[in-house]
Amino acid sequence: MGAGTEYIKSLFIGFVFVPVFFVVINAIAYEMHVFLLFKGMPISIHNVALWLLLVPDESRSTVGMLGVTLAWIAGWLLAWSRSRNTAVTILAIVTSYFLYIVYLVSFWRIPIVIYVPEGFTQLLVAIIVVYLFASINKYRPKKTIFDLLERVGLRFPDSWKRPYDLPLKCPKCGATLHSSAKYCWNCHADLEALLSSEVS
Amino acid sequence: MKDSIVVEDLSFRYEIAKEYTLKDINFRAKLGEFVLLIGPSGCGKTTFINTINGIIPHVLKGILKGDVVVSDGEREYLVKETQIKTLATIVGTVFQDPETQFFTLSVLSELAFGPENLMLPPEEIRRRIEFAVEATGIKHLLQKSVFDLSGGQKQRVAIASALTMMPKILILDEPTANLDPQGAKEVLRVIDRLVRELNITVILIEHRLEEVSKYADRVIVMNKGEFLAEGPPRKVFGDPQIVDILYDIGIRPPWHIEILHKISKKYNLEVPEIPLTIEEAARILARILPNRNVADEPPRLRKLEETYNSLSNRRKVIEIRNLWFVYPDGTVALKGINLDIYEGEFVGIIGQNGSGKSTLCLTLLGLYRPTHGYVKVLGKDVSKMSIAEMSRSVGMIFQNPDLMLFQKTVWSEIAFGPRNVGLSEDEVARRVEESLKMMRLEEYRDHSPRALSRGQRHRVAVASILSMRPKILIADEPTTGQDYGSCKEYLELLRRLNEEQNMTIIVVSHSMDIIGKYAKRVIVMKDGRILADGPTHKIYENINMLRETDLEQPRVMQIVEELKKYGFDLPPVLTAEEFLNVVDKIMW
Repeated sequence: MGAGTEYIKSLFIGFVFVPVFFVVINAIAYEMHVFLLFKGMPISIHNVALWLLLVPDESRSTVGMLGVTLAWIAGWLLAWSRSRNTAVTILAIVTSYFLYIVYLVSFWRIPIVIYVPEGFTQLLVAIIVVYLFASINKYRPKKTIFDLLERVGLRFPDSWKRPYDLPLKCPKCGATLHSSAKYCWNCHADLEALLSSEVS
Repeated sequence: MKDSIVVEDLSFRYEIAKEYTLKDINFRAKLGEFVLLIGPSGCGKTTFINTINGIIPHVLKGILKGDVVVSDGEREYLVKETQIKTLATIVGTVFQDPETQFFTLSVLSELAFGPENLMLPPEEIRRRIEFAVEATGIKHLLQKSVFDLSGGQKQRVAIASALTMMPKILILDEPTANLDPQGAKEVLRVIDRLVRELNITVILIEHRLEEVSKYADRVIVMNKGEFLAEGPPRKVFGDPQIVDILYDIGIRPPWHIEILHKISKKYNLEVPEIPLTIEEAARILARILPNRNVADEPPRLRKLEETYNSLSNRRKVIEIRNLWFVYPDGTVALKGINLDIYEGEFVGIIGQNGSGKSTLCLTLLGLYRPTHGYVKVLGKDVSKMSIAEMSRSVGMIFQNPDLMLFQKTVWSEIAFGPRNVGLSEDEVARRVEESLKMMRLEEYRDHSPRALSRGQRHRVAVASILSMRPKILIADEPTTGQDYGSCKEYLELLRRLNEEQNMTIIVVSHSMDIIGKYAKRVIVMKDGRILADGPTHKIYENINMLRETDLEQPRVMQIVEELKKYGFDLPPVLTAEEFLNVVDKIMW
């Protein structure tokens, strides 16, 4: 998949899931009587966009910022987990931030004032978290299918775990082999035993 | 001896049918008799057995004339007037696919299911389970899940479940159709034991005549709802007139008998007796043929080897590297497969049930995503291709063509694929016409696919795949449940596509004979690994390797091996024609 497609896909996931997570987090918070952002306002796209940009005054309280930031982190981590492309995801985060502003200003004629640094918090935290996750993912030891199978007690010879460069030649009779078969079709030799030391 | 089944003047017509499926059938089976019922697909075999187990008329409705009486040894029951729950205790039925008759998850509960429904006391249920387990030899399977069993084991469990109802009559509808050779032998041995030791009457429907004919007491030949011939196997298969009838209706006599008929006819040799086993056939051949050695390998086989060695010069169409596939339940189905398949190959994939053949094919189709490793088709990674893209590269014809047919006419069936990938109507029409012509289906373009014969339905299924112009065609178990005629027609079709269109064909089958005849390269699988891969005859020569995976040589090779015991030194052969050529050389 090309970077362009990944970018569009990330942007789409971020645009859909950040508001969804935001609404879910607030619903949970409402049930827990922790905080309430909407205060009777309808959950419209326009209002959710305002909250996500921390435009209303009450959103810049500690709990308000926490809810908004969590939604940004969750939504963009999901987008990154699908593409695994950090640069593309960060670009999509920034694009989405400015698209929200364009949407509110051009469509709803809302004069937006971005407070610094509060207004950029969610943007910066989302970028940092995505970058951190990408770095951790890059350097953490990867679990292969074999680690998982061995964890449940299954054991396989090392020769099974390696890709072969085909065609091979039978070490015993020189016959051409178009697969990693156990036996040579020509001399019936046990190829697994013969080839295990040769294949890298 | 007492009769356990008496059928008098039986005729039956399904409600929706215009013609009678069964016509004036008279039949008697004695207690403890093993009856083999043969006939082409659609001749009325299944309808006939359904009149004995009571499915007709109690479940399937229609016009029934005549009487069917079954006996439990003490009382006689008129089937049409006896409740099906009573009949279930007298007549047990085992179907082709045992999974369709499993109701529970474990073997033990499956065996208890029938007697529990009869509300028997626990001691009686336990006694019946012990009896069934002993008769079928499945004690070691009792605690297993039915999903963990091999095909042969499942079939034995299905037979055991039928036995827990203590039937006096057991009906088996192609019980070995889905089994590998060893599994099939296992099941037939159990059935034979039920007849000989427990005096159960068995009616067996089967297309694999080679293995079963030695067990049967009587063979009945059926066609178009009528019994054409009956008698002991040696008589039926030894009578030239009956053999001619068999050929006419698309049934092939057991292979070793057929070959003896051909040899005796061609060289005017007298066959002292009709053999029922390969060993008997080899003994007879050794008596009637002069003992001469033939060293020359048939030219076709020499070419197979040369072709295999030069495959790298062709375009690679499938590249598999270190492919692992693990099912969600943790079953490791493929364990590090590395394989290259080239353009224009005709590859046969064989192996026992559960060896990973079907999983491999589904991974090739992109329906299963590799857990590890990759599959490339025409140079593209399958896991990154869309289903639409895959359908233009690989086509798969499933065992049962009916699963692939759902449109009202043959034309729209073939047009379905191309339309779905967004081709213009002109292009769709062009492709449909091309496929119709290629599959010789022009005259059926406006017919309903379901109204066609099985062979024709197979051709429609292939045509619907061909209209997508795939480069690779996979055929899953093309021989299952088919008589010799339709089977041959289908395989010849695949051969034509391979030779004329240079299409890569991959056939998955249990039939060593079919693979031996058509495939140029054979891949043997066992426990998710490739055990051997090479030119067909070379793979078939490795008897020890075949035994390791419960497979056996095709009959023609078995007979050559047997003849060696009588001092004959013959080259490997894969088909009856090649064997007859060798016999030609012996005679002249």
